[in-house]
Amino acid sequence: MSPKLHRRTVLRGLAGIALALPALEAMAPKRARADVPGIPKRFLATFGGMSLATNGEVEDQVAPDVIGTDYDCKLGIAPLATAGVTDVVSVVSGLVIPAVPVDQPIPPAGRTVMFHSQCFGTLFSGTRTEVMKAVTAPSSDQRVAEVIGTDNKIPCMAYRVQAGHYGDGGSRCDVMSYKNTDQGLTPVTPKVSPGLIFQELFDGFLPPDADPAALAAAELVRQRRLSVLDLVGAKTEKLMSQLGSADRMRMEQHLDQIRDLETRITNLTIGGGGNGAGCVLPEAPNEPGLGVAYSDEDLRAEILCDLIHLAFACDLSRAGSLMFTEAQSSMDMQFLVGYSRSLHDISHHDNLEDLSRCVGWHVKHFARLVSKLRDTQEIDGSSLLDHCALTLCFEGGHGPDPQTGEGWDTHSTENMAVLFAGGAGGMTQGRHVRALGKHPSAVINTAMRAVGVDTGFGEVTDWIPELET
Amino acid sequence: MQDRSLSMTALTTVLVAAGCIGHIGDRDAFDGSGSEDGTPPPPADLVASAGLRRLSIHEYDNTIRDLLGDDTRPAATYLPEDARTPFDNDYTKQTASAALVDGAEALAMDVAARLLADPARRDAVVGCTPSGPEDSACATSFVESFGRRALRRPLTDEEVASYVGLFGFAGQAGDFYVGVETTLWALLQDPEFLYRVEIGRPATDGSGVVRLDNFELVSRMSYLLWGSAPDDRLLDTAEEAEIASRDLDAEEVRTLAVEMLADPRGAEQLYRFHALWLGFDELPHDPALAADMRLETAALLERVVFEDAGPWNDILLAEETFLTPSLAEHYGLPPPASAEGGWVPYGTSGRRGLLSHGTFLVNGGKFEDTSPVFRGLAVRQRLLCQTIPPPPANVNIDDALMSESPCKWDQYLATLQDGCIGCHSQFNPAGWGLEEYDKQGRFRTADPAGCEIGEHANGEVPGLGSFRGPGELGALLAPSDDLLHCLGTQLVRFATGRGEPAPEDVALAAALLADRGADLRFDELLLDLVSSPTFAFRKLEE
Repeated sequence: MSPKLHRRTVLRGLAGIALALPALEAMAPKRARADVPGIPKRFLATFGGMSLATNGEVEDQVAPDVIGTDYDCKLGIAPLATAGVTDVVSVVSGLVIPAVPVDQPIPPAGRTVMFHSQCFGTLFSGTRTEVMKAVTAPSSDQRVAEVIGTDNKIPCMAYRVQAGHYGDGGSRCDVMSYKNTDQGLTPVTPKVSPGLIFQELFDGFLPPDADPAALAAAELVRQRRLSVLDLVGAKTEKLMSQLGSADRMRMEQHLDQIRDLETRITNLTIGGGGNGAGCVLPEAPNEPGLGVAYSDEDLRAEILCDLIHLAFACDLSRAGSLMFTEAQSSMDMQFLVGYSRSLHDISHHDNLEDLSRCVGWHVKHFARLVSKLRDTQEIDGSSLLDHCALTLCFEGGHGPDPQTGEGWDTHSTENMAVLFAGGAGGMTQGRHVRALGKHPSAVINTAMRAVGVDTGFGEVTDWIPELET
Repeated sequence: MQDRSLSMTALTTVLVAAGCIGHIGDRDAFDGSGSEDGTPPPPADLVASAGLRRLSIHEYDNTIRDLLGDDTRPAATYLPEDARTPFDNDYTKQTASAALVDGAEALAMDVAARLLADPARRDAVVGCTPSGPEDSACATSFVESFGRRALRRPLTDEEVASYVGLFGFAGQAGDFYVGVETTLWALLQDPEFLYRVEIGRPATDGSGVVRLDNFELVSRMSYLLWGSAPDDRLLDTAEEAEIASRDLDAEEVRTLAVEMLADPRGAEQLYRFHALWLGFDELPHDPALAADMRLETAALLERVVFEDAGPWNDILLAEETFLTPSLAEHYGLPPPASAEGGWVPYGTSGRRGLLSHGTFLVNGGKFEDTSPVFRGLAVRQRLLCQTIPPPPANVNIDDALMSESPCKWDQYLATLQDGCIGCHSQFNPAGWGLEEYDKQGRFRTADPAGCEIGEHANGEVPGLGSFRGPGELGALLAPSDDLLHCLGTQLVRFATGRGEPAPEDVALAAALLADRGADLRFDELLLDLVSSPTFAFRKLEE
C-alpha cells in the first residue's frame, strides 16, 4: 500500500467503512455469485512490454505445470501466491499470435516476423498489423467504455506506469488505448502523473467532515476554473478564425479537449461523487521524481493501482487500460535485479531468473490490485472483484524463431500467457487453462464478454470457454 | 560558393552508388534553392512553412523560470513527453490530447500556487501593492504587464478587461491574490502562451507568405537563441517598431541577437542544440558522472563558440578538455590543477574534441555494451545527416546476434552476410572505429567478453577515409562539406520545429553555408540565420 494513500477518510454520507474481507481460503475454483442486477461491471486491460523467457530457454517461469485449479506458481507468477490470489486469478497459457514471413499475406490478428513493431497492434486492437507500428482499430478498453462507461465521470481511464520513454531507440509504443473520433482512429495519450490521475478521478471530492466553508471554497474553485476555461475557449475560437487551415485544425483539437475538460468540471459534484460501499477518498499522492531511466515506477505502479481500485470502488469509471511498461521497454530494472539494465536488455540476456523476476514485477502489481478489489465489498455484500474482468498480457512469449522454425527465441509470439482475474459475468476463477494455439486477444475478448460486450475484438471472435464454464 | 554547396560531394557519390545512403530532405531537396547558374533564388522559395508550435516541456520550464522566477521545472511531471526527432520541438509530432489539456490546467494551478506561496516572488510579478481585494488599478497594471510577457505581445483593451474581470473572484473571496491566481490560470492556459502563434501580415503578392510582426519576430528569436520567452527589453524594442509602423531591419535584428548570445541563456541553448542533435540530451549514468560530462561538453562549446570565437569545427579538434577530478579519473586522464575542475591536455591519449567526450560516446549504447552498428549509424545519421533505409523487410532486426564465438567482432559478422553487407559496410566500420571507448567514454582494449579489440578498431567512413578512435574521427569529419551541411540543416530544423525538413529548409541551410567556408563560426551562423531575409517570414501550411 502506498504510504501516501495510507490514511483515508470515508466519503461524506457513507455510514460505514468497507472492511477488508478475510482472504478467501478456498482452494477450489471460485465461482462468482450470479450477476447482481444494479451492480455495474468493470473492465481493465493491462500490459507489460516484455517476453516470458530468454533466448534458448525451452521453458518459461510463467506457465504452470498443473492444469486446472491449485496450479503451481513458478517465479514469474510467484506474486500470485504471495498475494494469496491464485484462487481468483487464472493463467491462460499456450497462446500464439500467428506470424508469417513478410512476403506472405498476414492472417487475421496476425503479424509478420518483425517482432517489436508488430505485436502490440494485434494485442491492443485484435487486428492484424499490416504497417509497422500501426494500430488500426479501437482498443478493448475503448470498445468496452462505449458500451458500459459512458455515464461515468471518467468513461475510460488510460494510464501508464512507465513515466518516460527513456532513450531514443525502441518501438516507441507508449500508447495502448485507441478510439474512434471525428479525426479517425486516435491514440489516447495515457496519463502518467499520479497527481493528474488523482485530480481526474477525485476532482470535487471532499472529506465527510468538511464544513460548509470548505464546501463553499471548493465550489468557488470550480467556478474560477470554469470561468478560466470559458475565457480560454473563447480566445481559442477567436484565434482560430485568424489561422490557416492546418493550424486551425490543430487548434480545433486543442479546443475540443478544453471543452471536454469544461464539461467534466461542470458536471462535478462538489463534496462527493462516489457511490460504492468501498469508496474512500484518498489523500493526494506525492509525485515521484522523474529520472532518465527509472522514475520510481515501483511506487508509481502501486499508486496507480490504488487509484484504479478506488475508481472502480467509487464507480467513477468502469473501463480502462493500464500500461505498466512500454513495448520493448527501456526502463532500468536495477531496483529489482540489483544491476543497471533495461527491461528489454534483460530479455536478451540469458538469465531466466532475472527475466522471470521482471515478469513477476508486473504480476506483483496486478495481483495487488486484484487482492484489493477482492477485499472490497459491494453494497450487497459481494466482492467488488466478482464484478470485474481484468487481464494482464505481455508483449511476447517464447518459442522457435518464426523465420526459421529453429531455436528458442525471446522475440516470439509462441507460448504467450495472459492472466485473467475477476468474476464478472459469472466467470470461473483461479485455474490454469492451456489454450494451445489460441490468440492472446481471445482472453481479452473473454474479458469483454464477461462485462457484456459481445461484439468480438477486432478480428478475434474466439474466447476461452474454460473460463466461462 | 553556392555551387559548391549544391554539388554532390565525392562522399555522396560513393554512397548513392552503394544504393544505401541518402541525405535528410533529399527527395527534391536541392531543387528549391535556385537555378543551376547560381542566380539567387527569390525569397519565397526559401521561406519555410511553419505551423503552430507548442512550447516543449523544456521551453515551458524556461519560460516560467524567466517570467515568474519559478525554477522547479515542473512541466515534465504534468505534460506528455515530447517526441525527439532528434529535436524536442517538432510540431508535427505534437498532438492535443486530454492528457495535454488536463496537464496544462494542473500545471498552471501548480505554478500559480507556488508563486502565491512566495510573497517576494509574488510581489515582484504583481508589481503593485493592492489597496483591497478589488483594487482595479493594481489588477489592471498586473494584467497589462504580466499579460504582455505571457502572451509575448501587448494585450488589447478588451483582453485586459476580460482578465481584470476575473478579479471578481477576488471580491468574492475577499483576497486580491485570488484574482492574481485566477488570472495566472487563464494566462498559462492561453493558446498564445502554450503555442507560438505567428499570424503576421500577409504579403500582398498572394504567395501565401506572411511577414511576422515585430513581436512574433522577437519571440522566434528568443525561442531559438534562448529556448525561452522574450524579455521586456525585446518586447519594448518590438513595441517601439510596431508603434512606428515599421519592421525591425536585419541590422537591428543582428544587434539584438549579438546581445542575446551574450546572455547565459545563449550558452544554455548552445548546449541544448548540440545535445539534442548529437544524442546526449539524456545521459543514463550516475547523476554526478552525467553532470561532470555535461560540464565538460558545455565548457568546450562555450570556449570554441564564445570565448575563442573560433571555427565551429574546432569542437572536433580540441586538444584539451575540461574535467573535474572525478571525470579525469573516470577517463583515466591526468587530473586538473583545481579541485573545481580545469582544462587537461589530451596529450597522446588519442582523444581530441567533442567526439571523445562521454556525452557523445553514449551514442549506440546497447545492452550493457556499445553497438558498433548504432554507433556507426550515429556518425552517419546524426553527424552527416545521411538517411539510411530500414533493413530489408525479411530481416528480423530483433533477433539477437548468434555466434559460437563470445567475441563481439565475430557476433557482428552476422550483419555482413549477403543482403546485409551492402548497407552495413557503409556504417559498421564507423562504429568499430570507436570500439575502444565504452558507452561511458572509458578507454578499453578488450570487449566485455575479454576478446582483444586490436585491429577491429581500425575504422572507416567510406568516402572520407579511415580513422582509429574519436580524435581521428573528429579530424576526418572536421573539414567535410557533409558535416557542415548537416550542421546547417539541423540548425534550420531546430529553428523551424519541423522534424522532416522541407525543400525550403534545406535550401535555406545551403544558402546560409554558401557564404561561409569550412572555418565558419557557429555564432555567425546563428546571426546569419536570424538576420537572413527569410527568417522573419513564414509560409502558411496547406
